[in-house]
Amino acid sequence: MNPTLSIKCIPYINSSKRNGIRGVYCLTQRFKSDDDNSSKKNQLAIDKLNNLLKTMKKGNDVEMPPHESKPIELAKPRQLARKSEQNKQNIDDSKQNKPLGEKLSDAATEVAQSIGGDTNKTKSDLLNLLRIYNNEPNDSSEKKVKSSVQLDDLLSGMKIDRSQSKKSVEFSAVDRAQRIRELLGHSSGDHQRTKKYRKPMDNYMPINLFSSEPLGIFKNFDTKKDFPTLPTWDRLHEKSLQTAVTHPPKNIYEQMIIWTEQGKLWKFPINNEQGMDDENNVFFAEHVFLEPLIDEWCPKKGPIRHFMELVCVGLSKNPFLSVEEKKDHLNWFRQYFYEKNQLLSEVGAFEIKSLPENVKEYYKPTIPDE
Amino acid sequence: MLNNYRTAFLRKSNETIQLFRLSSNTLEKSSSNGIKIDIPKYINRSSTDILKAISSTIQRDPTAAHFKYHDDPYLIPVSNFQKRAYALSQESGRKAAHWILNQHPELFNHKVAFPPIEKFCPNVVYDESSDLDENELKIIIEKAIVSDAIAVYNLLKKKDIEISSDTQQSLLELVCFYNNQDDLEEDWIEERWYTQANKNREEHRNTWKSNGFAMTLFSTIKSPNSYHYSIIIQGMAKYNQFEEAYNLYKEAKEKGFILSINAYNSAIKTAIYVKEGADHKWLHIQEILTQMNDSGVPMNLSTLNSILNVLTTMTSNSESKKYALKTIAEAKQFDIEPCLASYYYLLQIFCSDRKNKSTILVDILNLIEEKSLSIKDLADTNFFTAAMENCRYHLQNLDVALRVHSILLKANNYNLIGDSYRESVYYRHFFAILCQNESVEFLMKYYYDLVPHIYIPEPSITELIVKTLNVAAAVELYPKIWSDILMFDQADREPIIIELINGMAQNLFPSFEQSVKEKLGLLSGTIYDAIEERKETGKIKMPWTGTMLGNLINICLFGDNINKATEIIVKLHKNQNEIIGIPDSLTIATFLDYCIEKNYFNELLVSKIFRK
Repeated sequence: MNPTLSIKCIPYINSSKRNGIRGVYCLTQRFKSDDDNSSKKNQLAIDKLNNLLKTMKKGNDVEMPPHESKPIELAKPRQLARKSEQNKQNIDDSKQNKPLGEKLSDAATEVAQSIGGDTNKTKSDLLNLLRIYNNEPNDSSEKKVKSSVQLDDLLSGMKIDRSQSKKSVEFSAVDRAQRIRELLGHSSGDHQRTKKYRKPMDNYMPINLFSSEPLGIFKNFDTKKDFPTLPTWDRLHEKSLQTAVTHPPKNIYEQMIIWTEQGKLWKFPINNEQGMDDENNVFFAEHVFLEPLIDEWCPKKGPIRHFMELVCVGLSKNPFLSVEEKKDHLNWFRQYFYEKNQLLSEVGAFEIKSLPENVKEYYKPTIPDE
Repeated sequence: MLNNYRTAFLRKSNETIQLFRLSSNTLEKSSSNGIKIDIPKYINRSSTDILKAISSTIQRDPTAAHFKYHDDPYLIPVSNFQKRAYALSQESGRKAAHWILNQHPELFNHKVAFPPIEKFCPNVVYDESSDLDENELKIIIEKAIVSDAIAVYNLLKKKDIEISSDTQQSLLELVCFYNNQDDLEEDWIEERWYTQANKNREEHRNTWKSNGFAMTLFSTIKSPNSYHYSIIIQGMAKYNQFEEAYNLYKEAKEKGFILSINAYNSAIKTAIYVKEGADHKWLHIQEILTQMNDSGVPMNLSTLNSILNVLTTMTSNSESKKYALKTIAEAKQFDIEPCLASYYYLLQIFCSDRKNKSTILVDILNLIEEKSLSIKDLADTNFFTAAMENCRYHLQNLDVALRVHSILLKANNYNLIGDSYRESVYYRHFFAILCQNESVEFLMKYYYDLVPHIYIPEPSITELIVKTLNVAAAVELYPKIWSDILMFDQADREPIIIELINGMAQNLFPSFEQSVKEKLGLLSGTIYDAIEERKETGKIKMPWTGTMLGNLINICLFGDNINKATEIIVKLHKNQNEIIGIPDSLTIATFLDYCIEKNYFNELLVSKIFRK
């Protein structure tokens, strides 16, 4: 007895009947893939074996009316469908009233023949295996030990199944558990193998979603456009849709996208004058050539002129002030000199005639009390 | 003056000459080489396009936590609770900063940027003293701040400032859309990501504020026109006040108004509550559609979705599937493409029958697989979760599930997952299907990719994963899964522990390498200690069973962890009253054989006490 190996399979049996089948199938598959020359024939045999196990599990050893066993056969894998139909006909014709056990033995014979090789041996192995399954108590939640023994037998049955390949003698010598482990460990093609017995969607019926007849309620499709639309509502709806797909940013760039949309970041492409919309309409000459502004009040020569020209040069190079601010700045000096008129005329330097218009409060120098 | 003109003219002529030279050059070249230079048209890019392009080159690092968490081992969350807590605490810090800014705007007088950034400015407070006019109200409506809009409207009324009917209408739209209350600010992305789960529960509850500002505003309008009726009907239907909405709809019909498309859609939706029985509901829909046709109002996508939504409530009627397809065909005549929300409803309509399974999901996937998806309806975000659930319970098919997953990962489709709750439900179903598939390697491929940074399995899913490991005898993965169980704080879940211990004990093969054996032995000791510790603190209430301890002893012996095995044996002996059942006699025999074989006489003596 090799309890360790069999215990491994207990979950298959214990979890559910379906799983049980799956587990056995899985194991057979794994054993099988050992053989490099896994022929289609063997594949068929194993599928068939599986089917038999399935049928066996559903029907107890009690006699079953034939019409009840039919839906079970429908559950066979697809590739066998045609063949099984043929078989079914044969069986239905000749052996309709035989008990299930007898039918199974017949079926086993067929399998054995289809596999070839030592027909009698295969057949007896198969039947032996089925017997084990049949004896398995329905309520398998208890009695682990018992089921493990059966499974051990089951696996020995499997071994003989492989015995058709010539290597079998060597294989039996190798520790079986070791081999299973190897299969488990290095199963690169595992995914492919699982595909074979994944439950197929045999009931897949393509539905063309657009093929149906329309309701026929709407008659004219060039509808007039004078139904009310709600701009604010639509805008808010659009916004709520956008927030529904805005999720925590996944990297710094997504974070920057969100910041850009919220207006917290410079917009790409980077533009130094971003947001300075007022300045967009101002020609650069107005920033640079400021002399015309002092021409109307400033003396043509002398220290005041000299000073004001320097102010103009300074301002023309200042990128931080708007044109309006520059003008205000100049006007401040104009006003300042205007207030100093008395002093200026006393020294005989010059007299400023007029005050500028619309001087902003901020730029008005405090007029000293006289 | 003249000078100016001259220079300008000279410059102009110079340019033309140069241009001419350039063009003649290119002409010659192109003719000599026979290659025509095709200068592409200037493409207008938005300010975020370049960021999007860079961002699309960054792939997810499965070993790293989400970007929002600090990249510090101590601050990387490893459970769902931590994920939520860390993300929300960070955001609540930001909220606190906002609060201070709004509470003490006088402290923030410095200009942080020019041009000024509006988001960094404190909120404006409106009261009696503020100088208001209609423009101010318009700006607030544009910003969609409901409470401010209502306050300003009331102030304007008090000051007897006339408000144009257009502004009044927009205000009504705003308050109806948000049901008289402020929406969650768009800044709080995390809060939205984590709290929408609660919103779903309100899905069919009437939350409309029946004596809110919207109703007051509506009643002050002396002769409401079709716009006002449309707005109020849409608002009521949005917040599930269906009866009132239907009454207003009938009132508007009597007055002969033509309403907005969405108002008709809302009226269709009222069928869910106003009418009972499939036949009445369908008649109701047909009636409203006929009225739309008579008024010359076309269908839109939301009409289609509203009808399908009503149909989901009458799936017991066998005709509902036929109606759904007919509706889609009708919409097709208006060139309306169904969106994810429509497909979500279709899934509900077609797959309500558990016996007669429908594979409509496959047809839907065929349709959306090639398309780039974008959000068109708020219910769109339900689709992927529903599709995965359908794969798990309805189709029970891994292939379809994998297809759904691949579509989700395409382009920007992941944004349509909804929120954290829906995301974890989606992955719960996904992992359940993966576990049903027997290949452990396949499961672990996704496990390593998604756990723990995207998804942390719920206890039930952890149990499924452990089961899958057991079935496949993937012994090498036990240490990994145990450390994950500890990390996710699920070591106190009894079903998981039992499943894990039993599974390990069943998968002891003598042919393992010594190192694996030792690992298992150590692991079993660790598990025993962890459970003991949790039992002491009261986290685990389940009593030890003899079989469990027996299994642990088996694993310990298997891995030459004789100390732990002895400890457990002593425990078995001392606490006989607390332990349910006895271990298998085979276990004890193995223990004794092991001790004799390895000459562990002290241990043997300990166990002798036990045997008498």
